[in-house]
Amino acid sequence: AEEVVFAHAMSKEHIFNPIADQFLAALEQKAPGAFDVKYHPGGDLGDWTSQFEQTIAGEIGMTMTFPATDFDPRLNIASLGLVASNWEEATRVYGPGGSLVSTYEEIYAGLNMKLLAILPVDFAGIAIRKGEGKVPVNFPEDAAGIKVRVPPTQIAIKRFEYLGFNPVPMPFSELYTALQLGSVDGRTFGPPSEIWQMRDVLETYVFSRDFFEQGAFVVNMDWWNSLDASEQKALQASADDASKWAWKEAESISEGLIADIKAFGIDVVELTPEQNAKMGQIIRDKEWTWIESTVGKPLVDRIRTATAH
Amino acid sequence: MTTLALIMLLIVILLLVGMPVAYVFGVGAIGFALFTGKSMSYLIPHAFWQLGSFTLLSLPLFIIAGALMGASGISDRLVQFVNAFVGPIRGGLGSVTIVTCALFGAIAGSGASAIAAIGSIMIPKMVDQGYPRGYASALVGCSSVLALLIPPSIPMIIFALTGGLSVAAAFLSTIIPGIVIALIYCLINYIYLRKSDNVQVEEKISLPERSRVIAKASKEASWAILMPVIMLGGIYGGIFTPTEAAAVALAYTLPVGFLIYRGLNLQTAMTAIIRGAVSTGSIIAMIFFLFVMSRVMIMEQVPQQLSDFLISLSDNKIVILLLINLLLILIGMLVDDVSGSILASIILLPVAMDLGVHPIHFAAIVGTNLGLGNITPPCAPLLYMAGSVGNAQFNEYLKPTLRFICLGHLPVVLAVTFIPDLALFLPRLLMGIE
Amino acid sequence: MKMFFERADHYLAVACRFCLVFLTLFLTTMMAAAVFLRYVMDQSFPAIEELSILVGLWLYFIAMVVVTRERGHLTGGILDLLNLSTRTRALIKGFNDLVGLLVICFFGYYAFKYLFFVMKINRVSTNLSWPTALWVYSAIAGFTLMAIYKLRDLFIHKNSYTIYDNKSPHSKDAVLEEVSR
Ligand code: NA
Ligand code: NA
Repeated sequence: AEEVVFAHAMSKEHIFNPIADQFLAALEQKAPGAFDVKYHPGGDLGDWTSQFEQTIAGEIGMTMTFPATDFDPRLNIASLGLVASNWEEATRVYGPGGSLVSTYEEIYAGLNMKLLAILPVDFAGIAIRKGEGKVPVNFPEDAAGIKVRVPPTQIAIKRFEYLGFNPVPMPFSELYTALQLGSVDGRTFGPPSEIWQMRDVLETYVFSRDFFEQGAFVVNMDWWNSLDASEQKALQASADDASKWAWKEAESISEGLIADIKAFGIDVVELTPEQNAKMGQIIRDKEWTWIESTVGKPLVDRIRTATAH
Repeated sequence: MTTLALIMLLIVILLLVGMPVAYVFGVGAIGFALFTGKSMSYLIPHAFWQLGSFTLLSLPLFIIAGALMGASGISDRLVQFVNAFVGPIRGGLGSVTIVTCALFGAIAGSGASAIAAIGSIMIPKMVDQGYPRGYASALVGCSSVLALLIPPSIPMIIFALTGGLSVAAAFLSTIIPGIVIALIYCLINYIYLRKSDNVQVEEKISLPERSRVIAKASKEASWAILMPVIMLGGIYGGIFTPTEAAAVALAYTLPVGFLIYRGLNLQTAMTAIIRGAVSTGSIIAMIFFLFVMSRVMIMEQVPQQLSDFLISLSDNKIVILLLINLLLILIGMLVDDVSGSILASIILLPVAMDLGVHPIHFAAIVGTNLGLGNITPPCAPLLYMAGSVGNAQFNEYLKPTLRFICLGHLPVVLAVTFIPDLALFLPRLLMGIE
Repeated sequence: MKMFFERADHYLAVACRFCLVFLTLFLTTMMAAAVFLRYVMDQSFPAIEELSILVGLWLYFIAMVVVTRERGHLTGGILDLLNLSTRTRALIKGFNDLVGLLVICFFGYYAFKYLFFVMKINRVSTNLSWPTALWVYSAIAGFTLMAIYKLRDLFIHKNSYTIYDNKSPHSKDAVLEEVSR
């Protein structure tokens, strides 16, 4: 049997876990005994950036990770705000056969990786720590003076600057303590699963959906090319099954999490259509123009075409 | 399994003949990878980026700050201040060290920082008062684990986040075990030093005289006392993170040492920084190769196999829980504490929950065990570090360490395992978990 | 020839020590500045994480070089308990040095391999877009110099076991003449 390491860095409650289960079950059924998969969940082989690199190098055969801009700046488009603002749009853009999938396939192929599927995680929002009492919904005015943790990337810093916040880039490992002790007032780029993880220290969750978090299910290209056609077919078909399942279930998983978060006592706030439109205008006018300098106007135009309806 | 046993044997032998721990871990990694035919090309990159962690930066900063505090006169005054209270009590300084480690735990999330910050100040002072060097080092090494039991704790955050548990509840679960261990250590310290005539004890003086001594020491130490106040205030006031606190501590020692206590000049400051940095180097070298070896073990799914094997040995809940304890100590020996908590969470947490163990109770079991693994010879990174900071040789600190472990830490581990209330009392009281 | 090595060692040691002081102060200043900016000026210091890690890694590896030079590695042996002849001790020390050298060369090779890999794939840092190679060079410098000092231990350094060995860093041990007893 073909021995291969299959890893991801996410915790037990992350959607990657059931996706991996679905994938492994499908693979065993489609190609019984053909693969000897060494499954490493939870990040014991490194964080997701490291796993991304290890898949380029072929140390890890298959991984579910996130687009890492260190290796190709064009992957910044994955963090672009409001490419999709509801599940229907997200599925149309990123789901099986979606309008941006081939663009990503090209980028990953340039990094010696074969993209099996883009995986849904969830929409993200802004969470405010306990005792802060602030509920930013009108941007930029409500955001003035609020220090929010952003992931340490240019685009994240830019977006929350444009929206009026004081963005504080900070590694994820420091985030919990920072929220607990108040070195930041809140956090951004927070999907419901992470809000639930850190529920003890949060008070308000503005579910702004400014960002749709996607995972990437990739395999090392050399390893992929070394497989025979039937093995490749079984892998791809199993990944398709798992990702179809994920795109079908992700929305209800998200709703379940939101219900749990509300039941725990965190105030979940939705933007009104006017507030949403105001945020959308800032992001599309400023952030989308800014990112042209990083990834090139043609690529941004491709996204504009892919998301137009 | 045979391979693992052989490699472990090789590691023990090499450690015993005095080979630097860093190289021993390196040999262990190479040996294991050769035996299992694993690719070795990512061992270095992996360990390299584990070193390249923002939170780890508190380690060099605390160590160097500790060296500067020693040179500047800050630590002298802090210890004099403490001694004004406990001077007449036999073994007082030892107990103060233990309690300080526990309190320092409220600032730092790793045992290594505790050794760096406290060991470099307290061990020389204890030695001055006649404590055996090996004993003082063992005391600091064993007490450093308290920093992991008193929140915040980096391994506990990772365990809870990976296992989908409430971080706050996991934090609360190890507080009582931590306090119990600290108390037992104080007791052991008292009994051990009662017999020793070499340890100096101040003469008893009247209460008014004592207050004068305390007032004088406080006045002289006011700038020194301000330092922990700034650190605690800064962290709990949300001004800086625990990692940044290390930099603030270092930055604070410089003006106080140069301008107020005058212990620092260009020469002494440079020497202290270099001493601290080199001490960092010896610890980092060890941690680096521990990361390398961890990676091989994890790649080969050794903890998983060990777990499957041990759990297959019995159906009895008590026996399995004892085996899980054993396994956690083994994991604490084989891999670094952060990888250890990830593995405990993905491999053992499900097993424990099947047995009907409350996940937060299990968090306390993991917390108390992994710390123990770090100070149990032969693979005892925190202990070697304490030995280095205290300038003591292995044979000097081995016996006192085993005494602290067998009489203090191990019984508490067992108590935590079989008396869930030790872990669950605080989370239930303060957070109302079921 | 020996003169040349001694001079090279001397200047290298001075350079390393200077780097350690400089990097420490730089790291401290940078992190303190980040706190000041965030808390007092309400501004962020976006590249703080990658910059401080860059400084930290160089600090670690240079410190490791100095440790190797001063034979200050942490050990956990019981050799001192045993009554061994000077010759046996010297043999054991020689063996330990040889294994140390092999470990350093072995992993040093992979450090070089990794450097070429990150250069080939053009990996850059997230914020500043600086080549990741700048970070990896710290390991390259560290492994190379550590290997050189281990070679010295094996061939130039008198293979006697000194009271300074494996204790806390002690500069006396770094001086060739004084070490041979
Ligand atoms: Na702590
Ligand atoms: Na151990």
